[in-house]
Amino acid sequence: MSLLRIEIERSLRRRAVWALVAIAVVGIVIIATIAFVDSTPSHLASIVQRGDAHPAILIDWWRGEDDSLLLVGAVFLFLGGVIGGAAVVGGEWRSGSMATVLTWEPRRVRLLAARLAAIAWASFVVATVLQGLLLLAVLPAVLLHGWTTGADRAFAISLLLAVLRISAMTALVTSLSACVASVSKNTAAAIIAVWAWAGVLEGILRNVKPGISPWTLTANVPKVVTWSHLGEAASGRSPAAASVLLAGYGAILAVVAVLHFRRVDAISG
Amino acid sequence: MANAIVIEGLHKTYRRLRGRPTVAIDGLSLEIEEGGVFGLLGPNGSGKTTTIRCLLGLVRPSAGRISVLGRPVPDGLAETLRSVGAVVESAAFLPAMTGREQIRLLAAIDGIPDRAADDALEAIGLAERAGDAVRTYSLGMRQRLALAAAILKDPALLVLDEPANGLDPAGMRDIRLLVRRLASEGRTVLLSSHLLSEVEQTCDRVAIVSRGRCLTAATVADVLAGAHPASLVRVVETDRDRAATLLGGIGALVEPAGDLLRVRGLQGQEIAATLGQAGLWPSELRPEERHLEDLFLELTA
Repeated sequence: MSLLRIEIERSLRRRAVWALVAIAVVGIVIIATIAFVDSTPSHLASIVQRGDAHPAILIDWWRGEDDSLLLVGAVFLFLGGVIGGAAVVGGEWRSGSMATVLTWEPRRVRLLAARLAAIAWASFVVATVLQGLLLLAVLPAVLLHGWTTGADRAFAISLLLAVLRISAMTALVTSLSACVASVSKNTAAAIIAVWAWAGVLEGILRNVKPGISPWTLTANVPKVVTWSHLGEAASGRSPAAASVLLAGYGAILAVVAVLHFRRVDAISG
Repeated sequence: MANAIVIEGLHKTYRRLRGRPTVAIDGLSLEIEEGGVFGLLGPNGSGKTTTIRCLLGLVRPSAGRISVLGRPVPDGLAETLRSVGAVVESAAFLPAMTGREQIRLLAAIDGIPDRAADDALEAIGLAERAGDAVRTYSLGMRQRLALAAAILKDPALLVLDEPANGLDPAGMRDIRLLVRRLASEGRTVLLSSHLLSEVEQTCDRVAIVSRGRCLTAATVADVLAGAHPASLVRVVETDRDRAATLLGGIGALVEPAGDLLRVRGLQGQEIAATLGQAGLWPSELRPEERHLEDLFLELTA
């Protein structure tokens, strides 16, 4: 437990992490400002008429659809998670501090397991706090210009669960990126590898072999985030099953990273 | 006396995706007794740092056996490293964290209290800057921070890879005194360095390595004594060539050394007798004072 606490502290003291958090906070301020300025009564009425979403309308914060406020935020959280996870682990190799730590804790399986758990936990907490900040920041637009109609208890629960699912997926993406960085011993290589896999290779694979689509990250992460049963018939997988599949991917990659770390020479990559 | 470190037939080859494999250590064997300061000397690329990395389990040997404080490496590392303080090559820390934070976090791994971490910073002369981010530290200050981390465990064995790197003369003297003090407390210090004069002043025993092999290992005095002792002879300038011919004729190796002749392979009385019988009375005849640096250059050439 002590090592986990130490690794959480080490992760949260990284400049790259706080640079990403600072960028996120700036983004939240910009979104909140635009939401406030852009929420005149006439504009909101026309948006509702068109069936579009707006942050000043409370139930639009989470509709489980593409234009929900939280879903837009989730995309940026995942991007930040990829960069943050890679930077925390890759930076240890770049600075050479990995060797210093290993002269204190030579049990490598224990060290990397604690580090990955710390990264997952820290990214879950940071993602949750950032989503909370986002919702708080747009609240004035709702209270002063918009409306809360339809926001009942069921909506509040679905909103809370959505926040937690997005945080969990951010933790997963961050951990996957950290695993890749542990193997590559390089931040940039890990970011490129994760982007190439999720952004390019999975798309190509889906086109070449459509049957593989239900097994891809890009199909399953959105399913868990939206907790939508839409498309279940096509994929044959429920959101709960998609969660298990993604957790399995995370576990497999963590095992690969740990096995690699056990044998690798601790010299900078 | 028991051995603190035993290395037998150590081999390490780095294999790369491109290019040929690099042999860093080629059958190195070494025994380092407990207590005192042991110097590991060698030119760049001789395998010193790789040897130290193998000792600490940072690098996996291709072949060979290592034992540190009576336990095998890497199997017994978790126990062994509780009694080993180490500075590996360049002192590496996370640049955004303060020196105090880094030392305290490392200390927490072994359950060492914050107070001990602060004491180590004080002992190493870094207390005043301990609250600053490491990125603002000079190379010498980073070395001091690494040394603070190394002494934090109250170790029985200290492994210091180029600990004087980046230090000014005063800092080097401080390190020398610290190392001697630690050794006088009964600890074993393994110190690798290319600063030969420092090693000569600091170490009790020394091993010279080159191309991954141990060329010689003994006390500093024994290493110097066994290194082809030479005599320096002064005769008048006009007799110098004749003296060289005479001494060369009875099997000595003679070469000019400034105004003097350096003679190897003969004792002082043999030189005096040979020259005296020929009427070439030397005005100066003394054993050449050898330094580790001369021997180091000679052995690793």
